[in-house]
Amino acid sequence: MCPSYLLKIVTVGAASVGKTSIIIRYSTGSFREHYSPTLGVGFAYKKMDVDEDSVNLQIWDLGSQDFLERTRANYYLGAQGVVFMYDVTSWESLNEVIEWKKEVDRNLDDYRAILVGNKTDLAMERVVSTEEGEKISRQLGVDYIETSVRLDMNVNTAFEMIARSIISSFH
Amino acid sequence: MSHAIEALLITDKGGSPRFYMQLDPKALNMDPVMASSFFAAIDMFSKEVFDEKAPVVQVDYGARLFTLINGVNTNMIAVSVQRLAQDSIDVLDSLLAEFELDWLEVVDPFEFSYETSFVDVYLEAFGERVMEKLSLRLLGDTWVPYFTTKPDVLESVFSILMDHINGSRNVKEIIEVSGLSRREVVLDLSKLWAHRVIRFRNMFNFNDFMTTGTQFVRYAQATSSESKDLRTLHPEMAGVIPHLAGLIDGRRTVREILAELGTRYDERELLRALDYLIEVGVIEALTPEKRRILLVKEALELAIRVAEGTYNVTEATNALQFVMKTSNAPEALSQLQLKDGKWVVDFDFKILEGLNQKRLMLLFGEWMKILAQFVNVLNPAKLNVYIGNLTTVFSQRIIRRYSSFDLRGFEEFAYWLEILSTPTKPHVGPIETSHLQIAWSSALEELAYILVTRGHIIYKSESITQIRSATGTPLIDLLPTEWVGRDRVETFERIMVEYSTLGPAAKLTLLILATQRSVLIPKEIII
Repeated sequence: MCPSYLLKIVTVGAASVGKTSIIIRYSTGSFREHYSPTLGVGFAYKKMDVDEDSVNLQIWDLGSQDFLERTRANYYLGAQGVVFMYDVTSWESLNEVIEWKKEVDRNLDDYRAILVGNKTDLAMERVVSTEEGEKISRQLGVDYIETSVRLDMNVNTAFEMIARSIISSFH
Repeated sequence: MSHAIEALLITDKGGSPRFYMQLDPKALNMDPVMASSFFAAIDMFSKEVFDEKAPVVQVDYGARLFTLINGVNTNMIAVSVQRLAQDSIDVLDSLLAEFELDWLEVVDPFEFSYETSFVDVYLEAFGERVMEKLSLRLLGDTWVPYFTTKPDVLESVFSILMDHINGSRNVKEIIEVSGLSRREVVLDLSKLWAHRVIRFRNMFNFNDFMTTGTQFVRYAQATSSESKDLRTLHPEMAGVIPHLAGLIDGRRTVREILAELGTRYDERELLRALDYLIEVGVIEALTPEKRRILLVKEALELAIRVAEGTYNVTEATNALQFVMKTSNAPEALSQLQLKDGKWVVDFDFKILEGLNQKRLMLLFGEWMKILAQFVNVLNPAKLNVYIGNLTTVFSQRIIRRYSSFDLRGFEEFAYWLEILSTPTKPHVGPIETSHLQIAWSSALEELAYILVTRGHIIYKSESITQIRSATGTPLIDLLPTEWVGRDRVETFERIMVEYSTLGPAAKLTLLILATQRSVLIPKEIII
């Protein structure tokens, strides 16, 4: 019988890069048209198959506001995967990824991660190139993918990447 | 038919605009050339957008939603504020087919004159067809149509309403006087609007919040040229506007302004003055983004006042001053003012003039952060009492006053209160979710799903298990549609009642989530 995995993943990154939106898009297929800062902790889940393995992915949406750091610290517990997100129209959000990595490292010992560059649909406003995103991902030692949550591009692939990465670490 | 389409754009496959028409007189004008370039850029970037295998694609773009329909030689883009129903999409599809068959090849937009825009060339002919099928969106009974050109010089447009439109009769009165059906009147007005020979006044909603712009002050200065002109052209209006000035404060709705002045002035005179000020661009109804900012600012103002009562003025002041040190948004900080020893929120919206939607939404986030932090630093010993008082005040002054649209995102504050007031350590590890899939067929089911998932994290699984026992439902193990053999509405109501007892802020969460979804809450929870 094929193994069945229960994986906990957290999404982190600067405010308004699309952390909640990517989770809603992935778990429900819909796109949230309005921005709201996450103050509590969101949670969604979805079943997926990775090759022959059945995976129940639990994605925890952590608020990014600075005053929530102590609250966030609790929720890293038990996470096996981290989705670092930034917005390709904002240099600041990419630079903040380095700080987010430090926070995750303070709270988790062993985890797999990917870097997601979101909002690629805003082609006219884009300031961070794919190469720059890839460069930062190499610095962090994680895989890189670009998404458009609005256009539903690469969202499923991103979560498949992180799930596959975690499962490969089990073998 | 009722629909939510604000504008229609048709581009050729190369991305050049071929037809543009605004269907909603209240909607902001969109530049069709800019919009075409935007979609051409998306098209280059993503073949999924104009993929022939997906004839209809909907793209959310902030406050607007674009529905893209692939034609044979052209693409149609409908701009709306909400998702279009299938019957609207079917009408658009048939209009696009008609455009390609009957209009695209017949008229060369640049054949007549290089001075004539492509919009005007197609407008009179195809635009009238559009209006026949879609007509004006939500044509209000109180709207007053008026001619933008002298009716007697109109040659190209025949109207059955020519004798009934006089610049003062509203739509309802025109229907009564003409003896025509509402549908006939709406279709004819739509046609006239398509030909741009009429415009409307009195278009704002009574629930619109009105605010002044920087230039409004010119109408409050007796010696300004604007005031002098107004006294000459509309002397009655010149007398009314100074009395309106203090009431158009960004917090009052049109209804509240009329209630305040209704005993002293004729309502029509007041509405005419508001129309005039909108027309000259010195006052405006708050946009959806600004309404959300207003809501959270009012919530903060109330949170401060309730804290002064539950704690005392000193503690409330200290808490706010602590929070202000952590904020770096000048648009928010500058609107917190010390008056008579108390901190108050300034509701003047001029500070937001010229800001784009992205910045407005970040500022909404900043106000939410200030509100959340303020509560966070209050003495936890009295927090449960404070939350109880706040819930009562919010129920009356926020939840009942604002629309479900305005309340979007405000539930995060209620979740935050739930976390702050829950003594048990939150659930932080993976949750056993069994085989539940996320799908719901009603607002009640969606509400139950949110309560269960959020409840697991905030109150731990044991609390959800208690609700499960009390309601006799599997909750997280099975979809609500699979709860066979139970009275489903009664079960959902039971879930809400049980959830409301989990913590002092649970009731506020329920009130907000239920109002957002127009779900009736059990009377036990009503405040």
